[in-house]
Amino acid sequence: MMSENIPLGTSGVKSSESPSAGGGNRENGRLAAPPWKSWLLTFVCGLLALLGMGAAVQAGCVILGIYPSGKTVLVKHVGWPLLLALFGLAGVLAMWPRPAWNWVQRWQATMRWAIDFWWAQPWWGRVLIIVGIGHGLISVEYFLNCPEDLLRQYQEIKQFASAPSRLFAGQRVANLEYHIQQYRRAIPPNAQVAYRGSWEAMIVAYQLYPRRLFLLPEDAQRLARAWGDHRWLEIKTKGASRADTWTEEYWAARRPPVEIPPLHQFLAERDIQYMIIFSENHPELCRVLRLNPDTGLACGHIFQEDAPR
Amino acid sequence: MIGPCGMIVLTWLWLAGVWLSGWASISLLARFGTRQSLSTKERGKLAGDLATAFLTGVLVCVLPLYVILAVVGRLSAVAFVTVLCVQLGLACLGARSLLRELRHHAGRLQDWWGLVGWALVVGLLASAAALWGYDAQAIYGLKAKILADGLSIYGPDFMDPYRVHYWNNYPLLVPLLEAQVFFWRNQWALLTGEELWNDLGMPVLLWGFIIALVLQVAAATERRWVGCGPWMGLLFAITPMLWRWTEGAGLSGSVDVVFAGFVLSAVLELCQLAERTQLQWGPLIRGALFLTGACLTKQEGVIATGAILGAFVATTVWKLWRGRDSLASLAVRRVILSGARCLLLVGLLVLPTFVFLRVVHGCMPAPPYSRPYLETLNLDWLSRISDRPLTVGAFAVNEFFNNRWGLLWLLGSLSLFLPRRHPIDAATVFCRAFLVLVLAAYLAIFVVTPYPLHFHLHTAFARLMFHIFPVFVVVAIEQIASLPWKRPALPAEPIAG
Repeated sequence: MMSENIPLGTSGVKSSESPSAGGGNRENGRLAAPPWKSWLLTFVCGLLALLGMGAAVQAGCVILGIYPSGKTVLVKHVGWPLLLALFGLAGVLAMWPRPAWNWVQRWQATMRWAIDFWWAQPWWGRVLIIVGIGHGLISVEYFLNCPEDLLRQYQEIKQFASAPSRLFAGQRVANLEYHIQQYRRAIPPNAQVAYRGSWEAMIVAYQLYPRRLFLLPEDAQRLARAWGDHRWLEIKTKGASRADTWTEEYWAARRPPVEIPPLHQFLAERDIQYMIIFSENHPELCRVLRLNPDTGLACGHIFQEDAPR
Repeated sequence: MIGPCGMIVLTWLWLAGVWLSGWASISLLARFGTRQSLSTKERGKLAGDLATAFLTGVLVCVLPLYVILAVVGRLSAVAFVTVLCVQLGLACLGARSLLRELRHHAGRLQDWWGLVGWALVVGLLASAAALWGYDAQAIYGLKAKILADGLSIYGPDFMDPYRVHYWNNYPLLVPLLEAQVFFWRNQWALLTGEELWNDLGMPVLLWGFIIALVLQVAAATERRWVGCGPWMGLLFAITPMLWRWTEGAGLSGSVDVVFAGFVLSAVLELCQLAERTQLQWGPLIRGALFLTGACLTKQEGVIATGAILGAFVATTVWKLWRGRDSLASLAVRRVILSGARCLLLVGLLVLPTFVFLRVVHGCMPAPPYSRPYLETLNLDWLSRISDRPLTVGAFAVNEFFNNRWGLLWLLGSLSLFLPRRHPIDAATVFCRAFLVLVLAAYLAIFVVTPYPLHFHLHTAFARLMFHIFPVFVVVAIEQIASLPWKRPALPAEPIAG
């Protein structure tokens, strides 16, 4: 097949040419394949379109509840068959012999040009085109999963907010969303609050605003030595993150000593009247305490997982 | 139901105000001759102008508030109302001008419908999402709430090291944007009796930056590869990392998409300076302005500025090397002077931003859990981390093939190894030098980081790569456009042989 380079700054189709004019192997914008081949390809594309359409309609009926099913059917189960049906129809239109409509003729000419373009490319050109199509398919997969992911996100938030703890990997862990709701109820908006917990403190500070959260100095020092202490990290790295523990010790040893004021002084200076204790791994320890700012001693529980007041 | 829906609509209206006020600003600048007429028929210019308008609009509504904040320490309701009034006034002018421009381009927009459809879908997602990312809440969201509440940046919220405020000393461009939206949404909440500080639909703000990024990529493509702008823009736009809400992605509420938008715009403007020997004030000022925006968004702005200055040096050296046999001594001097002038002017224009940031944020104490990067430059530490380059390299390769990036890293990397049809130009050398310098700086940071390596890689690597991803895509598209593609012979053309 004869071919030539595309000059810089052109899209490969000259401004004066129409798509239907392109391609040396066609007749008046129609595909010039042998009739049997054309019919066979039309049949295959039509079959794909039918299969795709059938699967999409069935999945749609299950989602809408018209056709009950025990299995969970998601939007992607409709999306992919629909895309298959679309590609099938596009194929049927591209292969249809002697079409009467102008737009079908234009479509056939475009497809012919695309096929000729594919065959004209050297190996690297085809590899780049395949990678580009792969990129498109991966992105479509993400788009089709989108409604399900969004729904799951909201369901998780709702589920975690409805119970104080849940079972995770065989262990009972505290639900932060639930406790944040309790803190909102138990602590007045203008309160200053001491927080004893881990890195979720930063999220709690955002969620509980306008309540001000403070880390006790010893907790701040503890966090400074626990950058890598995350359950998700350990799961994600399959335990490899534990190898970084030496960096925590190294930098802790180099840290200049910090003068930690007495607790009652720290609380009094900041007018802290409440203390939140949160431990993801020990839900039974999660609680809110009312403090006496003068002594730093707890006056009583405002809220505890088993006994909300 | 009317409360949350009203808040989302309010956010969209505010975003439209930002866009239109930015459009009015660049139209006014065009009248004063610092910019070409907006109605030129340059390919992809409308897309590029729309992106520039949005980023300019953001700076128009943030810079005055940042200055007030630096001087007074807090933002009052009067400040928010004044900025909104100026914005609305500009938006009215901008709407008129934009409508005229769209009418002018009406016949040439049919290729862009794919991108418009994608933008609508992502807009819907942004409306249904909240600020779910960790950084989005802990760093930027909390700052936005404090600023919207009228509290001082010189008060305990920013100055007490034991206040739970993650990275209290970070730049405030995005928190200032979010603070304005929170302020007006709270007024709505008070009217409708809704809960205050609701962040449903806040990612709509970031939608604007995603669209600006895509438009910049499409415009840059259209300039070099006529007719392919919308399609390459779409290929970039569908990349999951750009529009998803998972940690660090476009709609997560993390500011990396904002930073990437400013950096890409700055690079695209400033590479025009590297291309020509004559000084162009328009691209210089716009580039410096966007670089300022980047510095006010994230601390990595320092690295981006350094990389841009380094890219000027690299481009000058490359020009000298290219013309080593043919350049006369006068021409050599001109090339060196041109490079030095760009370096100096960009440096001088961005320098006040660093002074400003130092003045405003320098007095804020570092959080007690932070670790100093400068202290990592000691032999004892460096001798202990000799195995890290391998770990970082392996992680980087793994990340580049992660599905959330689609296959664009692979596509771009493959294309860069292929032979070009024509020699590379100075603007492309500038972009590539910038890319290499930033990548080298980021990888070096991961190698020497004082934080646990696995933690740092898993939480920050993808976000930092997001900063250079759009520039990489532009470089890759330029390379793909320069490859010796072949097209089928047309019947009307003579067939050789």
